[in-house]
Amino acid sequence: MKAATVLPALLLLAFAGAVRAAGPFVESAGELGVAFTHFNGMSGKQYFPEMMGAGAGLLDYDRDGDLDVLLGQGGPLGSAGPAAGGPEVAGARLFQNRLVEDGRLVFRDVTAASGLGVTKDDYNMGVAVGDVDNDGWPDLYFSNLGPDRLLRNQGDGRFVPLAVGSGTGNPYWAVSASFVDVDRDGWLDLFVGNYVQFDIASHRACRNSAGRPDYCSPLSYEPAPDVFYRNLGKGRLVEATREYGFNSVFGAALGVIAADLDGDRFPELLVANDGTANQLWINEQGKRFRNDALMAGVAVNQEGVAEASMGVDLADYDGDGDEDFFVTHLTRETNTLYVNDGNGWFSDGTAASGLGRASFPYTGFGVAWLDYDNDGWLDLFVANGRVTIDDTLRERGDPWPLAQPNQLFRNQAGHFQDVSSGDLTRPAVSRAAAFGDLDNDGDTDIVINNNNGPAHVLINTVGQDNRWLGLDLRNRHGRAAIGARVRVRAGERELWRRVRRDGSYAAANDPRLVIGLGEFNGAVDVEIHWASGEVTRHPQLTTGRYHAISASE
Amino acid sequence: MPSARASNRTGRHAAFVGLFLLLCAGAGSRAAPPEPSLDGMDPAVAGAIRDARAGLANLAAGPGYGALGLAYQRAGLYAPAAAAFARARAAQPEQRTWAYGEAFALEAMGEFANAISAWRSLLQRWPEDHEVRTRLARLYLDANQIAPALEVIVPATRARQPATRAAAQMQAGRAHLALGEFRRAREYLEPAVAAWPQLARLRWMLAMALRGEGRREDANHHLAVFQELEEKSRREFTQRMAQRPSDAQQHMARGLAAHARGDLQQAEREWRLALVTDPGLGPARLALARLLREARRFREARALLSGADLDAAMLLERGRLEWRAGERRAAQEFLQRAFAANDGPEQRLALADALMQKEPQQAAVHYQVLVDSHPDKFRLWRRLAAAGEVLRAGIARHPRDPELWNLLLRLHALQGQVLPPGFDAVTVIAALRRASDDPRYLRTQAMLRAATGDFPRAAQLLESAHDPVLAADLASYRARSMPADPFADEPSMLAPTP
Repeated sequence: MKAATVLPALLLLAFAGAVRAAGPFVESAGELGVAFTHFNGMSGKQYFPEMMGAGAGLLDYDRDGDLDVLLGQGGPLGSAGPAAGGPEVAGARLFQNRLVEDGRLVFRDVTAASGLGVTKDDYNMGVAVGDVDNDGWPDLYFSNLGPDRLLRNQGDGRFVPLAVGSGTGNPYWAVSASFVDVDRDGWLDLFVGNYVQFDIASHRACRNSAGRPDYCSPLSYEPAPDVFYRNLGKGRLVEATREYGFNSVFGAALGVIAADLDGDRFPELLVANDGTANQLWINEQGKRFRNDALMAGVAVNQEGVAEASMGVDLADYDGDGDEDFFVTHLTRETNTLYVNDGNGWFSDGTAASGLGRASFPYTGFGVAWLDYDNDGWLDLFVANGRVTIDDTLRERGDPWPLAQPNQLFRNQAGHFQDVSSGDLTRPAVSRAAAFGDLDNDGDTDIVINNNNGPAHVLINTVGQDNRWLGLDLRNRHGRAAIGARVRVRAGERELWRRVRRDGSYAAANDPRLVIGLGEFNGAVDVEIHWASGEVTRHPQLTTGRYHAISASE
Repeated sequence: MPSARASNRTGRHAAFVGLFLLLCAGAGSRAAPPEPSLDGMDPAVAGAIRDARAGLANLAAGPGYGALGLAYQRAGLYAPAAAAFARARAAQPEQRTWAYGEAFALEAMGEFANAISAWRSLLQRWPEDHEVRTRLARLYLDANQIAPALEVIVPATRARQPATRAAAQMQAGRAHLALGEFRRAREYLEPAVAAWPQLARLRWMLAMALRGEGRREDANHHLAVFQELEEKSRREFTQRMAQRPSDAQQHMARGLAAHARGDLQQAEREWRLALVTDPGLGPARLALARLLREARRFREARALLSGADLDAAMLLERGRLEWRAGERRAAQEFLQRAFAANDGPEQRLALADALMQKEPQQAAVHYQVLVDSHPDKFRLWRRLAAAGEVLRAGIARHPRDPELWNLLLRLHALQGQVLPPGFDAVTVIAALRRASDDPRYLRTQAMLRAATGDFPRAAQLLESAHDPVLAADLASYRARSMPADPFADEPSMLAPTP
């Protein structure tokens, strides 16, 4: 009798211990069938691009109601590189989520049938997702080292190439891109952040302070100009960089995100540059952009230093109704939080928020504001991985000595606490991190493409402890309502969220909104500010489920 | 009673010995710096580390581990650097460089709490060191500890040295910016900008303060300057990256490469071609002269280094050339001229080397200056030790010369030693007392007292000197002064053996 009561208790304790050990996210890639290992083609020559990729995307490509996983792949670099592929098939991989079909979260590799074989010779750096032809099916943009690739989703499970610009595509080394309707004509345009002007012939052999071969800094190369494509309709993208003023200034771009920051309903663009000042492109009524980063206070940090900006995200972390900018940086810089004062001016709130010191030893890439515990406060996840070789790891015989643990910061009413633990801290060379609700259980999961290593799928195990509301907002064409802002009133609290796919680093996110409500258990009132300007009100929505809402205009 | 007292004394003695052993064990248990592999490192960097490691056998712990710490730090190996500096600091607490090194290394490793603690210790010991104040305030600000940052930095904003003052004002401005106190921030930042008008970061911070005060036009002005400065620096960087070297520079570089691989003939050819292309190319002239000197082709080397246009580096090379050629007087003359033109460490060292045989006291003075400013160069310590040998021989001939004693003791104190082997404190202090009105000797006496643990007497000696230069030492001795030793009637275990 006694043993019968003690044993289950012990088992429960052991289980609780196991859950604690795994932390708030459990790494489940292998178990879920996302068998993917990134291959960077490294040959010992320390080619700069080999440690920068690759992309990750979350999209419902087959519109079956669950998120599928897209992962970009590297390849051989230069003639000295090893043969392509390794254990993986070359090119990007698409994993179909079988949650809705089979009733359980598991993925099936559908690359072969999807037409993604066309990417087999590409060296991928990032991915972006957007419905360029307004047919309701999300299309893909691959940012590559070399010409990029736009693939149209036919709606039958297959993607086919679509010409971009003059047809040759963006020739530069691109990383992050954003589909955004800058002129509000109803068609998604495309901004591509280009990094530096690199090719194998221009490779420089760099060394660390001990004189050992190491990766170069971006300052060793000329930055590459960013590119903007205007959508003339039905996915006909033509280059309009100069017309829109984007040629006036550029840096080594790594992170891109779009949002309407001045309230005129025309989206601005924030471009995070590596080692040079960031740009905040103010949209002048959809006709032209001007860079106002300096005046707005986001060009450089509080000390006037242009940092090595990588990943970005924008959201209202402090609950004051405006969006704040977070950008990840290099080891021995801190990640930086730019707090929006509501008038379009930002101030560096890194130290005050408690986010400075914790990021000092790490190099951050993928990042997002996410409410991992659904308490109504947006937390932060940062995917880390060095860009220069860690001599201590190298001496231990680590063949890829750049690994670092990822980090999770819990937002406690505007102040952050490092709550990193368990699986999310497994050291890896993390780059792209895509965020979304893979198992439709109302919390945010994370997919990470780790450079030269297996991808991680981090399943959230704590979000269900609180109440939540899911919103799947679509415009009148049935595509994700990018840019729509949502005001949620839950009792005394008022939360603002925005629909977006872009941000992070080299990634495309789930456009659905998961809004944590803490312990609030009543129905909530929702007000949607659509990108078109229309405002709709949706009173008394029940929590604990997704609501699909479409714009009428 | 006597036996009880004896027993009590024995017990106290045992306790004292126990405490001493504990202290020794504590010192010994300080983690030895890990020895990272040098494989694949640049030969010069690895060589510097190897030299520093070898130096541990020849030097006292302070300079030895300090030099090792600096070698690791230059190689970007911060963890072993911090460990080496910690040992150096423990062995030589009066040497500020080691404490600096440790704090820097901890900071570079991201160990903020330890770095803050290291900088705080430095500040406690050297409260007048404004650089420490600035570093500590900066760390506090990074940790969002605004109040302690301000407390630390404010005295430094009144520093006499303009650059030190401006650096402190910048941190004070930053602290007030973080507090949203824009007017106070501006009041600190404006003089800093006046001191460093070309520092873009300061312009930026001032603009932020002005923006906060609502002075948008003024903010715009500084933002425009900020942008200009940033663009200029970017342009210069790009130009440097894109700049093609001239033909002469290319010959120069090829010559250096040939020299590095041991092809001296090719190196000579290239450098001569460089000089044909550009006769004013100083580095080629120097490199060729050095090569000729090494080949003992003195006449040709002299021809290159004659004329009225010789700069300090060329005068130095000419001095070395004459020395090598056996022309000692000429060597000394050129080295004196080189030192007069530039009293940098290289010139001073060469001059000291030249003076060593005939005027060892002068040489020792130069070595001490060098060791004081470059404690990481263990080759200097070797020379200093050699100077010590000469000084000891001098003392044997002139045992009452306080100057010789002073030099010798300072030299040993620099090496972390209390006394040179074979000398006892009583003789030495007696010798120094004869010249006790000279503050330099007082300082040496105080160091000697402090080294034997007699901090109150050390402090007393410096108090009598009334010399503001010695204020830091005095503060340190006062701080370390202990209450009267209850076992004063017992022989001290730390007293030097006569």
